[in-house]
Amino acid sequence: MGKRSVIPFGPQHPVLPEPIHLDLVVEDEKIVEAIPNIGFIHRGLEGLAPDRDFQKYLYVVERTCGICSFGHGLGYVESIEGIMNVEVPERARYLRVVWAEMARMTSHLMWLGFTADAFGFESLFYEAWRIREKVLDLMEMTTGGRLIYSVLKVGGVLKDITPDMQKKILDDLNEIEKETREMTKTFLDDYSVQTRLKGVGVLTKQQAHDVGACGPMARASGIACDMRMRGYEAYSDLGFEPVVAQDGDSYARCEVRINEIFASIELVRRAFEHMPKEGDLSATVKGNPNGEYFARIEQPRGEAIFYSEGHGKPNLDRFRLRTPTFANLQALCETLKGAEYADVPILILTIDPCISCTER
Amino acid sequence: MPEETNEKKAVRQTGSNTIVPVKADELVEKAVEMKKKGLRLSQACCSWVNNQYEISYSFADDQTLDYITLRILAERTATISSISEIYPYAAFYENEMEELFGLNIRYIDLDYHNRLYRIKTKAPFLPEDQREVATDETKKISAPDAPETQKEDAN
Repeated sequence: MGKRSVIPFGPQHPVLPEPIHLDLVVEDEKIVEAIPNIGFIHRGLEGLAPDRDFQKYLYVVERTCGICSFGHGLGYVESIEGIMNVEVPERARYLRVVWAEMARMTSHLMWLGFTADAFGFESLFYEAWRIREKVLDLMEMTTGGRLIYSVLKVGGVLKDITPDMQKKILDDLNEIEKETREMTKTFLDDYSVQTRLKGVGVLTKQQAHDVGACGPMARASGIACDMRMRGYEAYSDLGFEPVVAQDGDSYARCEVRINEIFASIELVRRAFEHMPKEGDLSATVKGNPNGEYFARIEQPRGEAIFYSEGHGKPNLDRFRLRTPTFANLQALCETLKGAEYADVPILILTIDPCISCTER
Repeated sequence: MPEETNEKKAVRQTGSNTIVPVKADELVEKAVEMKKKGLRLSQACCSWVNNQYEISYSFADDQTLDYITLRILAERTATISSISEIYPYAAFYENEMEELFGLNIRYIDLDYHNRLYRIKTKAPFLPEDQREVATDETKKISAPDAPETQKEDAN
């Protein structure tokens, strides 16, 4: 047995978009154990719930994270609607799906850019982010925001997508799909990319289950679990099927996220096809939440859980958000075991960590 | 006893989630049952409602998409046993409950000793008059060492 040393990794590191620290126990450049450490940017957003009106607290929840803000808002309003038995109008449910899927595309394209940057493929990084800009433009056109969208409300949505906007979205999605397919060839077929991703950080199906992995991390290991299968909002009408890969390595995780971009494009098309031509955008919400509810939705990084508990007052007694990265940290530690030290940055990125979400 | 507390002692359904009340000393045994059924620990969290803890451990069935939450009602001074021996990834959730709510949890596999989030205020999510209640001395003796980084931060 070689000499074991502990190498501290992070929280500041060129490859890390956000602060996480790992104590890496290494033996001859191979990692034998990784002890994660978070808490550098904890903001206590959950603790604000008892001090805010439940309607206004939505704006706090949306600001949990700048990448998946729409999903956080969606999960929160679902939890309140669950407590208050609010029936969301059909058109609003479809609009929510459209925005959720476009937000997923921006997140996955951003991740592809970060990953390309991590293995030094700068032109690929630019290409992924160039395509992402087009999706962000569509979000800006329909919601007015590029980061925080603020189009949700308890009981429905605040804005509509007009027929002109719909046409523009569908035209642009054709273009985005074509350009993403071109980029996919490099991500999945290029030799230099494959050498950095194939066989790196393998998480078997059993391991993924044992460490409680969720989202693309679990699906890349063959676990066909996606909260959209529950059929919340309008997903039950759209024939949704999860994207799954079997190899469990970094390449499989990349493949799953790329294919999810295409799946999202298809879901937006189907949503527009099935969406009622007109209808209310929101239902009337009376009173205050009295009860508790667990809402589970599929964020770009995996299953997110929103727990709300109220007792008839305007303020909730407790709001709890369990983010996918929080669940995937253990999976990260598992993939790091036995990995080369040089692969650590790629492995951290392949869980698509969102530490801002994690440290609500 | 308030009517609401009685209601919380019964099995009930909220959406697709089944809430099953359990006693604190039954938690580990119930967690083993969940593990045997092949369920995934989906989340664990804590609330402070009506002057007592409401602790929730939620388990997901990825085949059927069912969701079961074990609910424990506990007093401020109560101590519960960690399930991190059964579900190793429960450690993060339990450290979070311990630090934010001052809940006493014994035998957490990876115990950060209230240094997960580096918050100076003790049990910040509890009402102020509940924060200074004594912690469980037996936990201090039996808990394994904190990771090196936390020790340095604490110094």
